[in-house]
Amino acid sequence: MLSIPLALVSLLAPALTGAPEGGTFALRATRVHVGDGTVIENGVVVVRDGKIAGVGKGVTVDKNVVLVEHDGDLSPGLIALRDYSGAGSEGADSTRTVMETADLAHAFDPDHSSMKRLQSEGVTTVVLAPTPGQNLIGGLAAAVKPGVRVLARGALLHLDLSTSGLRNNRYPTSYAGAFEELERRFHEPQGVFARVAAGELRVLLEANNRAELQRALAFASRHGLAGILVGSSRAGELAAQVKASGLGIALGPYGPGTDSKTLASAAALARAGVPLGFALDAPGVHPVGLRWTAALCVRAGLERDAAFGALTSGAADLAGIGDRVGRIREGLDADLVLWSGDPVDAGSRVQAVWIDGKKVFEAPEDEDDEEDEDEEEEDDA
Amino acid sequence: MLSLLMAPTLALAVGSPAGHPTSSDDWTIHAERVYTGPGEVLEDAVITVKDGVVASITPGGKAPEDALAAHAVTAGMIDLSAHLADSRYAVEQAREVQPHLSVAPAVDLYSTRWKALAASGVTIALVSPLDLNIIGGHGIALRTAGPKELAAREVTGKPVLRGAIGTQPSGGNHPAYGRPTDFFSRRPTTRMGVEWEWRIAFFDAVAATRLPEKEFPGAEELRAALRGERVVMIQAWATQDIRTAVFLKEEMSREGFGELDLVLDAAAEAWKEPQLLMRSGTTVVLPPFPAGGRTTDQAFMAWNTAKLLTDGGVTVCLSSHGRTSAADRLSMQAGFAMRGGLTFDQALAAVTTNPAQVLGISERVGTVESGKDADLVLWSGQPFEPSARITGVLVAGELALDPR
Repeated sequence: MLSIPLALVSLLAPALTGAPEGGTFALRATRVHVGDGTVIENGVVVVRDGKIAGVGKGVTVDKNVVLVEHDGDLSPGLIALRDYSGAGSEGADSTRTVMETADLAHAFDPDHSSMKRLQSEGVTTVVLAPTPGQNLIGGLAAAVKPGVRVLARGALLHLDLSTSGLRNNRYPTSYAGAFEELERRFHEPQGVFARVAAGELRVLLEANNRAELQRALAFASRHGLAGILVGSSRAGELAAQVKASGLGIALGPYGPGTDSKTLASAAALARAGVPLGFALDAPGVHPVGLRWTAALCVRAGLERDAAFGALTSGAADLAGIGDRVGRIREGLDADLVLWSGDPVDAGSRVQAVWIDGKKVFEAPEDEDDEEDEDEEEEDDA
Repeated sequence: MLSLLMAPTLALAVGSPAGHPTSSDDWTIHAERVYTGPGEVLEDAVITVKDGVVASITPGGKAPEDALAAHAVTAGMIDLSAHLADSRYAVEQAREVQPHLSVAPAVDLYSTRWKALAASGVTIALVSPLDLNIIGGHGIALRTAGPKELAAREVTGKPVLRGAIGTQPSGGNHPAYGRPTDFFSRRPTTRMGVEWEWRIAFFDAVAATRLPEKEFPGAEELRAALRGERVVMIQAWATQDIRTAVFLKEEMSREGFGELDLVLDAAAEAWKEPQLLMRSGTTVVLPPFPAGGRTTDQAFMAWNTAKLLTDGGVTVCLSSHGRTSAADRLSMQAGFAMRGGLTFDQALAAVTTNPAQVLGISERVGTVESGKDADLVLWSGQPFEPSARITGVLVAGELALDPR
């Protein structure tokens, strides 16, 4: 662990060579985006034992604590509400249609090569969902910290009401069969389903086109489901109904070529007061896709603050982990990202990332940067 | 009940000329000829529409200048074989017999086909499960325009239970070579097997009233069909399949199980058995007239099929069978049937009153009458003539195709 005398710190910014590896340290940034909409100019965040020990403008820092000054922005780590990183072929069990107690935490491989890429883009928590195309109910999605640990197992029950939950050689092959099976499970529900019906366990509800979304909303209201809709690109056209359902929505991932009606959905949903988050779907999509999605939604009319909330605190609340991550608040996990500018601006770059107060990524020297960027562009295409 | 108040569409709010309120669906229509129903025509008549229903029809009336104008008006057409849920997800294939399921979860009201169907003069479409298994489940009759909610669009009449006989329901099934790998190897591979499934389903449903262990999902719906509380709509193209369906109905009757309200869909070769159909009281829905004569299952359909059956006393309905090309539209089928000898009034009945009767919704639709739903088609010339265009369509008072 490097210990840097206070006097030298300001000279090191913004390259940040030698950002603290962990332990107890403090960061001062030009702008600290807390995650709840407030921005603290020249704010200081103190990290101790993997948690945030203090945040504010006039926070006093012990003189034996390392303080890094950063000419840029500091934010909570970003959160993706649907992701497949590191699960590989372990992400779904195709032998049965309904596997409500399958635990995605067992598919989490913190040593997988995809973890570093997530970290390098400031993504510090993802909801690991069952790989699509295998199950109507693929299991319990887990909130995990890339390369580090499982944050919350059994965070959300995954229900696939899109055609990807249907297979042509196994019951159900149809929408009618899917709903027959789901209604059977939720009629006098037992076990996991009883917890869902009682509102104790949230759902991650897949629905793609508008008709599927309508059916998903009707199903959710019939059984009092709470949680997140995901996959509905045109949900903005049903914003009022989505709002009435009480469910949140995870949008994306979007990229070049996403049509304007899809992109306009985010703003329409936000105007209606629907809680928003974003899906990432790495490793199929490069982790930079999370911020790309947010930036494209902003370009199509979403307020910048709403987009930032959807990347951080809003997503955490939707996944039921808002008391652990998603904000820079005393007592929460020290998942932090230093940026060259506003994190919602797609042009901003990640400078350093901490998960649980431990440094997991630091941007290399400027010369190497440009090479890296080229690689990323290729990955995106 | 039908929802009579339809939300105004966005299309209405744009470019609507003065004199027509954009906030409601009240209309005045003037036509040189209003075919109120088969055999009835009013000259130079004015129709007023209020709150989704026909408020008045005045022959020889004077229309306001901003009235919607047409050469002729007929009731909206009803397509009993619209096939609007046609993805492979539209019917559950894991079982052969599932009368308890409905096609409703597979209906997509956002599909662009609805708009095209409404513009072609069809105001009510029966959507049925695909015919990929034996008894696929219940269909649903829907308005072709209106709010994008099933409950608001559904036209509730007599429930329709859909199934199929012929090669289609066994298509894709295969014998198990060695260990069965999926349900397709446990399903019938022949017409013989399909027929057996139909009979055993009804026999088991009846047996279950005495032997509760025989009860299965859908048995109650089958018993309701035997009580005559369902339209039993069976797709059967070829003569042998038409016979099989009618013999099934007669067997149920002979055994004292009940009377099926049988409607044959796509019965191309029904012309070979008019007496059998007449004797059994079976209604026939014809597929689009084929250019070369041959249809599915090699069934041959002649141009005078509708004429022969109608003259024989069989109730005939025409349909598009889900085809979307211009020549296969329902309005063209009526014209083709007339080319084959049907009179205009018989052709009009085959696309309006007959299908309304099948669905048990004659009290509300099928004719242009004061108090009935304003399902109306505006024509530029004599209806069903190939030269006549459909210029306007009202679906329960909502202007689905604007004639202006």
